[in-house]
Amino acid sequence: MTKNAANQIEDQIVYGKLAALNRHAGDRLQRISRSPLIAEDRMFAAGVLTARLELAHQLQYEPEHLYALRASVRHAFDRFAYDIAEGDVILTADPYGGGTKGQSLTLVVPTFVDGELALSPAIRAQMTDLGGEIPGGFNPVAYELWQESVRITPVKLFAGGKLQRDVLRFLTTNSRTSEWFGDDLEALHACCRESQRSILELIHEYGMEKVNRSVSSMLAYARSEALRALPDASEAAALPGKADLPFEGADLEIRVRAYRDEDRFVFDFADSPAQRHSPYNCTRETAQSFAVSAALAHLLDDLPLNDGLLESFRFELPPGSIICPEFPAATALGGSYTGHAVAAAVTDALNAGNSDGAYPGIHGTGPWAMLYPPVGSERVVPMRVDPGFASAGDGWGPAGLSGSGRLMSAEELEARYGFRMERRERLEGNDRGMEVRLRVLDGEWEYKLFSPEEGELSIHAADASAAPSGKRTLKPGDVIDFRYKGPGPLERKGGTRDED
Amino acid sequence: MRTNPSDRILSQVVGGTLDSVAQEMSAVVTRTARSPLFNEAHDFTTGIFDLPGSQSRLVAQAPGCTLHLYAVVSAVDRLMEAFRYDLHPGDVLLVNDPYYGGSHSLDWTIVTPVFHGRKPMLLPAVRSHMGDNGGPVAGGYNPRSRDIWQDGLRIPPIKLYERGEKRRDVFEMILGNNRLAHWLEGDLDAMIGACKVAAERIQSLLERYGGDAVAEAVDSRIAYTEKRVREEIASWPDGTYTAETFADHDFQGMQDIQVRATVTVSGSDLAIDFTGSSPQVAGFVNSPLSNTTSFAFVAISTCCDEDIPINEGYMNPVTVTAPLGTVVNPKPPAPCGHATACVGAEIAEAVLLALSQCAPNRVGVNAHKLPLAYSHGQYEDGRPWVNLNFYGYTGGAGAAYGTDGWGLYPPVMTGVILPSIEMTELQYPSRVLQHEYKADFTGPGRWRGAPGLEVRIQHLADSRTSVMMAGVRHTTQGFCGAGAGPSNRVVVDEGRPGALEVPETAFNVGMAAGGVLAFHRSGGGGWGDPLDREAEAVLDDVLNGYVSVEHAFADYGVVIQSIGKKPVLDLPATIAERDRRRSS
Repeated sequence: MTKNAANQIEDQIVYGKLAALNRHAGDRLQRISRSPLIAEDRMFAAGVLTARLELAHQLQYEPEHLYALRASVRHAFDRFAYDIAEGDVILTADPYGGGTKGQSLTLVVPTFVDGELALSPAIRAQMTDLGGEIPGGFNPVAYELWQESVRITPVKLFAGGKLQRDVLRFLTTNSRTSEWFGDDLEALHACCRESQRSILELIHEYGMEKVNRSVSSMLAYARSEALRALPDASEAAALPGKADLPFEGADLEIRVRAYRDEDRFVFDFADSPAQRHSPYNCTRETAQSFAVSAALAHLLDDLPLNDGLLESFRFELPPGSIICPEFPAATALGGSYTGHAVAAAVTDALNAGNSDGAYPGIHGTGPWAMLYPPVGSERVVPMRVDPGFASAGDGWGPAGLSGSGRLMSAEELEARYGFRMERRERLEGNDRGMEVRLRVLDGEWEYKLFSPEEGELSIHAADASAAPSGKRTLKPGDVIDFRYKGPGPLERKGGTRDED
Repeated sequence: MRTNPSDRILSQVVGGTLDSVAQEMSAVVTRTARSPLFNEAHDFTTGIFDLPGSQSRLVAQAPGCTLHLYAVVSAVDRLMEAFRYDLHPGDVLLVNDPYYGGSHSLDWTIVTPVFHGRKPMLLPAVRSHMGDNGGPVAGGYNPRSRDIWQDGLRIPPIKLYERGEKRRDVFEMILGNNRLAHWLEGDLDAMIGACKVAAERIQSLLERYGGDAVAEAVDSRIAYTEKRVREEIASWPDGTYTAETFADHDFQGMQDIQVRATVTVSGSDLAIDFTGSSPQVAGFVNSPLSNTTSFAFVAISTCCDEDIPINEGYMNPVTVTAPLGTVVNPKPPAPCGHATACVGAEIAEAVLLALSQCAPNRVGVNAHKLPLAYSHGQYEDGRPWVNLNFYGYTGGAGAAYGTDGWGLYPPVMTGVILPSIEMTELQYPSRVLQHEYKADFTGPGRWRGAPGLEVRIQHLADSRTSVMMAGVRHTTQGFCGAGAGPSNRVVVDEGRPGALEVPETAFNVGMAAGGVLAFHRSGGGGWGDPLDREAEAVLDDVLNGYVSVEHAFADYGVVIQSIGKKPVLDLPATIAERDRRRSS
């Protein structure tokens, strides 16, 4: 065996260990976090970044984090460029600091070896509540980020190993679910600390040089594989794609041009609509994440998510547009709606010169709801209710862009929240969609319904005489029906559709 | 406590020095702050506290916004509790949370400890109303608020500086949660600067006289104030006096919110018990305990001589009881954003109405039920502006024994100054079209309230306005037989097809450039029977345009004839009319 081949094997082994310790961080987080958003819906990503703040490895269950984890960490490090020390733990949750929406928080533990910055673990996760007008942060009438949640610009939770108790108090006080938030922060911190310990062991075992070589090698691999999987279109023959925005009457569309430019693949969104006076704006990082998730959907389970993959792309995102809004525009619903249109436009473009549909559509918005005890109650824990799933654009299963959360358990709903799932079934007929019916058993709930064009949500009062429209709260006996759009009629070989 | 003359003189010197330091702090804030709320309106209070044991004490204060005064005492206590084992020279502490000693979250308190003998001894503090506090609504008053997070950003005790070093991350996080970060940064620096100046002066004082002498002087000064206040209370007859008053509504559908005060005078002790007040409400008018205490203090201070130094001694003879879970002492997370106006006003009014039964000649100057209307928009360069429409709130001062209501602002806003119209028009795309007294728009009495006002403010750019009405159904009360003030009115976009007279509240109402906000701000309540008012004084009011000839007769029984164009008092007819009314 040549030295080069041996090195390559060793690179794979070292990188495999790095990936494993990062995956373990994600597994641990699911076990020890308090909020169902992390433990069950898995709305988080775990990553390890190099001293140059390249993404060495990322584990993610939700696509919006793809670029946001790295960008948030970079923003945080930039903020503390001359003031980072061993023992620091930095937090940020800022849509205008590498983030996506206000409730998604990034925690990073800078890690040093012999006084030099080495590989640092980070976790990015959605918190249950960070203040704002509406519990849970999804405010359908917000137009400024302060109306959605508190803004956490980069701040040290630990400085030199010392907990900043007043910062923790500030953070938890600005959450309606302060206990959960505090516990989830502890979980994030504990997982990053455990990753840090493993990273230091890895470095101790192999040496910094070998670890760096391994990461570089896998970055190069991911990059070459990503580029190999994309069409070969020049700028002059750029592939056009478009998709309707699934809100506000859908009279707006996302347009993209896709092409290769030397060693990168370019997504040019120059013709995108202007930012909205609503929460549907998606940040630069959200747009990048959804675009690349769509472009590499068929490879994302195989390729390591790292800087090599992220750097395979270049984006033209016009400032002031709905996919790169200017501060302080609201952004909480950008991923749930606009992000899907970004992905759909990218899929459309990549398939433009490709009649066999090699690039599967993984977009597909569905109805969901935020439920919470009446605002002002002593304890208000918002609950995201998404008990079914929308079909992906190509109809082969749940929309990949909706993340890898577990399907909401009927038992959990009933035992924990007092909702009975009376029905969750595939519909017969051409559409083959899904219908879920929930009945309130206990308590009083306020709600916000999010129903894109590709789905329906309806409320039925227990008392038939009560008008469902304008009903402010749900009470025992009331019913919520979720109707998810299906993939459409089955296709027979040869392209004809089955009308069963 | 030493009692020899030289010690008393030293006490005066030290106390006077601390007063001067507090006033210098006030001057520093005024001159260096960025927001017009500070440098124009003076909506802040500076003071100095000491820390002899586990609780701080107010030692000296500069004239400022009176309603801040006892809220800041609680805020300082909560800060000391939070950092009791982690307090160092050079620390700068910040808090705004109503459930950490605040009133409403727009009022922020900055404190710096001054150490002597390795212990924190004196604590300069600034409490200010900020231009914005993040959250759902620009300007911080959210009439739709139903919990404390919908009021805006919560800042529990936090350090902005640690051992003299600025915590830039914390500072920037605070700025990042504010629409007016460009103002806020300067305003926080001004508050911190004022505390630092005070710290230097206090250090000099301590070096010059020594810690023990300063502590004794402070004790002496507090004791003197307490003695004076006890003398005042002791002059009132012992007994229990009860009064109740109502806020119109809570902005969430609840109406007639009761504040009930039972005041017991026992020798030189005064107990104020708010038992019987309404349970806490869904809307943002709940008054945290510190705010309730502040407004009780406002009421008591209007009954005491104005030369009494304001310090902890003022409230030492007073105990305040407010049952937890009521509108005067809510449990979290009840919203409190409007407490310093609505329900705060009723707290002061209920205490004054109770005191009017035992000390009628001392109570008065009741007022504060003001209509709030905040407008916001964007300058041409895209920066946001938030105009508090200060001119619309002016008026409302009540009468007291021996004097008509005077001035524009009620006493609860003692040191707050009305911004100049010129500066207002420079700072905002706004024009003050009208700001003048309105006839027959105040409470009549032997001494009448200050006249109400008619105000019109035009916004030259597109804007949105939220209006919070108060004093419409339950208007400002008069005392001892006097009439109440009339109802407030606000019209948004006056004179245009979509004009809206606001019944209770309006949220974010859009107004195209050129739109006009019209305020009809009522005058204050009167004092004493209007039939006892000197007829010549009523004639003067007619000549000054404060009272019409018709209301002179209707409200005061004063008959005024017109001879040529000149109104002339018909004294015999007036006497006859008044006799007739008294006998009937």
